[in-house]
Amino acid sequence: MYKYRPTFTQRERVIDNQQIMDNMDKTLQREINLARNIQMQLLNGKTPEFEGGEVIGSSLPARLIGGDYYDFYPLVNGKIRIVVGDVMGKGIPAAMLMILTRDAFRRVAEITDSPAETLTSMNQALYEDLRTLKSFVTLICADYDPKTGIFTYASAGHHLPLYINGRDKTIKELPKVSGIMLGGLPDQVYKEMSIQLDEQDIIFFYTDGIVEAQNKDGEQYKLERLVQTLLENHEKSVGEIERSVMDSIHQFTQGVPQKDDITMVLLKVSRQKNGY
Amino acid sequence: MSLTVNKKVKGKTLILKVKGVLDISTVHVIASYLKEIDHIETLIFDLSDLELIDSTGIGTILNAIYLSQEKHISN
Repeated sequence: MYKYRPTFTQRERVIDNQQIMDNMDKTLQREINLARNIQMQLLNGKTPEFEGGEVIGSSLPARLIGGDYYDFYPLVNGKIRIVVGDVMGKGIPAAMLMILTRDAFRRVAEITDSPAETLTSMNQALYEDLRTLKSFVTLICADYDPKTGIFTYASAGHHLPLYINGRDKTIKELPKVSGIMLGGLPDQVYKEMSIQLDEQDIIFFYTDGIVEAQNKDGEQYKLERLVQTLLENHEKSVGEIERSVMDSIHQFTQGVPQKDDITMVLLKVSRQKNGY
Repeated sequence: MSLTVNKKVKGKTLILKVKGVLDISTVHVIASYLKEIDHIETLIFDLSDLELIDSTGIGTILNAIYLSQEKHISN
């Protein structure tokens, strides 16, 4: 009779192993959800309110956790520093590097005088780590001065934001300014450009997850659809424009799971109503 | 969505012709070829048949450049 006992014990072991695996899965899932909460809270922090304009940002990770990043930093001189970025890769590894990038931005934002200086300092701070981790980050960094309407920007390998002219209702990319991604080369000195923004002008920052969002047929959302959506909605508030773009993407993708995170930041000039 | 790599060796030159999609799901294929670059002097990536590359794919090409620099291989 006892001949069958070992078989029964083996079965028990299989069940035990399965329970251990189930518990590990649950623990991992719980930790991923906690990590997601941390990331979403850091991303969706306080949006600055200031006289002379309005800003908003939103990010939709393709997986539970994403590698896109945006941030606002109100400087003591009254300017608003904005950063939008995309970390190489996806999921948890990209999220860890996103936190590293956020930390570097927050540390150097107040002690650097311009967007180009911010990127130069960030590359200085992050280069060794990114090189060791075989990764890189593309970023666009910009300052908006609500008092003068001057918008200054620099790029570290990130595509340029769209500029929507509130007067003649045209959309174009901001004038080109070049710069290599953070982690690409050491000792980089970034360049910057400035433009004068006028009443109702909009700057639309975004990551490639928007224009590369795919529907079930594998077609991409593309820049043309984004431009059309912005033209149809540019007279609204930044919150309404942001929702219109997100709705348009969702209508196009029809619930198809996306490969890349979707992130946008809007800056709209409204200086007249605030007396500038 | 797949990646195929056609490998050619001409003397001390290794040519990797990459076709298809170079993204997070396929970069390991390139990594395996980069283990074989110890005895070459020039590394060439032919990306003319590449259909799509994501940031992880760009990172892999960058790493190939870094690796080549460490091993004094031109690219």
